[in-house]
Amino acid sequence: MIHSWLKHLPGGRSLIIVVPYLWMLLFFLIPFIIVFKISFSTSALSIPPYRELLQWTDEAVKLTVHFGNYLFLMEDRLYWVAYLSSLKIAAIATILCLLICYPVAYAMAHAPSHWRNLLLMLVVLPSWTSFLIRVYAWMGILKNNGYLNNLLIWAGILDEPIQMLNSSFAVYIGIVYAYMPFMILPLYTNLVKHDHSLVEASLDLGAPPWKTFLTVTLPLSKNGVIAGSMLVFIPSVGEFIIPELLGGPETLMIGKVLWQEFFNNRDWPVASAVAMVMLALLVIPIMLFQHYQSREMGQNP
Amino acid sequence: MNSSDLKNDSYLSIEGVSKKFEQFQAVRHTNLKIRKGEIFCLLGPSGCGKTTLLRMLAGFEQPSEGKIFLDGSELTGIPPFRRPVNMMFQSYAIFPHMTVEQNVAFGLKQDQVAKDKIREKVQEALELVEMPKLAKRKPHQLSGGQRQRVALARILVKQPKLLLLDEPMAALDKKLREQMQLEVVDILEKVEATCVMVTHAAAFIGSVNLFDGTVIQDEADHVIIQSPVLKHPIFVDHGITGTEGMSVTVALRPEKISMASKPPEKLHNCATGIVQDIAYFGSHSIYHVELETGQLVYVHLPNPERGASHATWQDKVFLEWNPHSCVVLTH
Repeated sequence: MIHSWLKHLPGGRSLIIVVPYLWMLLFFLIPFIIVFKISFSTSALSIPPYRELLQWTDEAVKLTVHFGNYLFLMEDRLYWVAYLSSLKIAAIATILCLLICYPVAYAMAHAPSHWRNLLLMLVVLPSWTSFLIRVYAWMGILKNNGYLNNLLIWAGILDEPIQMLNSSFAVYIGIVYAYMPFMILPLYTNLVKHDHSLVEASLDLGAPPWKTFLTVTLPLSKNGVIAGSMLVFIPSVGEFIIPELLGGPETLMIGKVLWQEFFNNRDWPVASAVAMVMLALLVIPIMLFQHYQSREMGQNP
Repeated sequence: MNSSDLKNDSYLSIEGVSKKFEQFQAVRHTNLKIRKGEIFCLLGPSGCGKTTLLRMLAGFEQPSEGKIFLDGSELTGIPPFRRPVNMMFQSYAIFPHMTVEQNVAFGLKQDQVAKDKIREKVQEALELVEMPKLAKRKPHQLSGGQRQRVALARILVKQPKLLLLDEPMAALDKKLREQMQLEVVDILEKVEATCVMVTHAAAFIGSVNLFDGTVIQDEADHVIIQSPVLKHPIFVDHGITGTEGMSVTVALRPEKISMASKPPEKLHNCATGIVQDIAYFGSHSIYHVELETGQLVYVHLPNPERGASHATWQDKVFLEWNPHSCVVLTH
């Protein structure tokens, strides 16, 4: 009967879910598996420049799993330094971003309601131009004869330009600037939902405004802080464009190392291993976040 | 009427207070005097400025005009966190990230009270609202009535000079409301708190006794009013701004009337009647007493111990009340 097989067709609901999953499968999971596979291979002078894991020789399938790349990463100090320095730069940039964006989000959430949509749009507005162009704009601002140095010399604060471009300072500016909207939006969404009577209750019970902020507003915005920090921290760790264009010789970030392995050394297996380890490092905070969030959700059904 | 006498008499005094928002006059030239230990209800339709008045007492709004005094010192201009005033919010505003215990302790922590003292006081307050077993719960694990008790405990524990209750029953369903009304009033009377309450829950005042009458004597320190429904005159021990012969209404709360089986030895502030009905409310009963003139009077009495003699249906009873229990409402 027609009816009986129609029942086994997926309904509209599952179709909607299937589309993004299919997308993820095609463009995330499959590339991931390919990279994972390459990381267990060795490099070769061929196109593509690595040996296949499965080889057909003498009427037998030979599987070669090569752990050398991972061992190499562990032995060579350069990679560890690059990983740690990436984590450090991303962590400091996340904290700076949080300190700058919290007041912005707070002010937006407390602005008159007819202003809020305009303010939100202004936060997102810079993303309408190319990311690369905005980073180039920062190069123009920060270089030795750039706007910032000229302004400081004109104001009499500096006698001669200081090196700002191609330094860690420029990298922090770039990351904080680029990821600001990702911090502001979750913080704003959280803060705007706060019940103002809780703040009033705290004032009423004798807590001055600063203490009310620390004991009521800040703990209640914890989820926004975590979400914003994750959205800034995770992509910052693997950031390539900003350290490449704004950073100097001393800024060692794993994204740059990865690029060099792939394109300068053409050592795909080592590069894949670098990528896999970075993913593993980032999965830990993501899992912690997920665990934390699901516990929070469980508490507030 | 001597105004300095009145100041001594009133604990909270609101003098000529107005509040104007940009385009809208929320409160217009309001005068109020409230005695210590009084539970004062602000009634009226929504939007008439009750909540604005309450928020001015709490310090969240500043009056555009006029002054507020509490216990002899001026309150106007003092920020909310320095006022000896605590408010129970309509939504209860319980901190969702703290346990019941932490919520109740919050106000005491701000006052730098010692830790073991806080624990002791919190325990006392939770016992008062019958919640000690739920001390470790988070607010989302509580029912509406339990949240209300936490909100009440949180302000009672600070023993403020003035309690403010904004629509304390609005967030509860009807059945719970009726039960909690009696309990809240009971608790407030137990701690002898001075309290201003915004409500449009009629039951809070539904059974207030109102006697229409005429002023027959008007002095600085007392007024005598004759009501057609009462045999004896009403003697009020405070002055009013009125003249002899003007018509007024005397309000008398049902719990301010005492009931006896023997006639009192006085000829004012008393009445005789027959018990028509008794409504039992746990710790209290409400007696409906019909006077000789046909007027129905509500009397709110605590229930006696088991076995003690008490008036019952169709008993003849004698009612009396104190001169300061009467509130004179001028028309």
